[in-house]
Amino acid sequence: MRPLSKYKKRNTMSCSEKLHISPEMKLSDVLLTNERLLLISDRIGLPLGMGDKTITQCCREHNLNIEMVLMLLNMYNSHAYCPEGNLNTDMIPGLIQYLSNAHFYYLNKKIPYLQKLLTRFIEDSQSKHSVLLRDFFSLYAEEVKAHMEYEDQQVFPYIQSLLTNTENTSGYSIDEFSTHHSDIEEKLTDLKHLLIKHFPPTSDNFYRNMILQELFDFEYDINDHNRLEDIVLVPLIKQLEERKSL
Amino acid sequence: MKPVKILIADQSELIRHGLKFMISKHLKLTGTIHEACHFNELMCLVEQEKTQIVIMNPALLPGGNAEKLKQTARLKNIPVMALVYAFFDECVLSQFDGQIYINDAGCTMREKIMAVLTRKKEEPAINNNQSLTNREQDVLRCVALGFANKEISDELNISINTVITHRKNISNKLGVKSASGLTIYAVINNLINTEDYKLTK
Repeated sequence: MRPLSKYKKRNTMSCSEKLHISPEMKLSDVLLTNERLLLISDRIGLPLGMGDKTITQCCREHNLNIEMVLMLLNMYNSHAYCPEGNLNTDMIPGLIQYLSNAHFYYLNKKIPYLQKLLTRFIEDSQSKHSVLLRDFFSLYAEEVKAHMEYEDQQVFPYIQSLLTNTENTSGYSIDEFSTHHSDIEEKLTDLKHLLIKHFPPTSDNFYRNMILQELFDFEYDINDHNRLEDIVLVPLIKQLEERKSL
Repeated sequence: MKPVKILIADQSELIRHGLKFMISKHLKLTGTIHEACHFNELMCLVEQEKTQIVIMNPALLPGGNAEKLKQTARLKNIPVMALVYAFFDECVLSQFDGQIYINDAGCTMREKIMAVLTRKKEEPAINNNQSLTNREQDVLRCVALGFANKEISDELNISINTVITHRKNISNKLGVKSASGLTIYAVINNLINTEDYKLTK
């Protein structure tokens, strides 16, 4: 038997993750140690095929704020990382870009992919109830869409207006965002429980398991995304608002 | 009494040490007390250490949601108590197995902790009975048919508060919270006919 230490623990939310990502590290090395950062790096705007370039070099090449990139990589790499002390308002444009890209990914990639898997599951399972799951997921998809569109159409333009110093006529403030920030994880948890516990056994579990893994993955992702909005975006915008009201 | 392993979680060192002092003074428990200052540290300790009881500030819960912590705690049968010294919504506090207030006297605190520790022994399977009672099935049927709480209370002749309690218990047992998720459960288990249902929320 192989010694236990030879088996790698999956990197998701692992609290033993102590690695602090610094600017002189090679981006490729960082991505090889934690596969969850692949998505993040993609949304930041750092494409794969970077060769041996360091994080600093990659950021310069793509005109990205290095501090912002390091903050995001570290935040998603380890939950023990506290971004509070390292925030400055120069990060905001890159952060908004990141969040918009993430929204695009959820709405145009992840959710359609999950829907495709569900369709395959329904075809395979031949259970009269499986269609219900697809209806349920469609409801959920609408919920996520409304949530993200609210941010894309209300919150981000408001932040743009703060950045460009144009008059904010809407009377909107980031406090409103905090109260508006609805829970979009409930139905996701429900679906996991339904598929694991309640849905009758199916002859082939390939798609059922695949859907579940994707749901767990999506849940982690959404969870981290909300954490980013709550502990980085909101405090940063408050700073901007205060500066403006002076 | 066997040694008890307690885990205290709060951001403030002062509060943690204060509570630690109170516990060793008034509870006369032997054992170890671990400390955590944020949620992730708390989760790591709950996962790794042989903790018997957690006493924590509800403010540490991300989004006031204890689900993630409770899942692990349930597996290991660890009760989780709230250490309350600020205002928290009832729905946050109701997730805990007990509450200690900052102005509790030493003996009150002792009683509360001991009650939670012994309750754990008497009924080890508090939430393990997953099957729904007949009344819960009635309520679930109504939820699945799209009834609002007021309509359920009229239909079944029970108070709205009772309806809410039933709904909470149903969700805890099934792990399903949304009305549409509960509808699916009801259809799968033949509690309602497929023709009657309509997924709404």
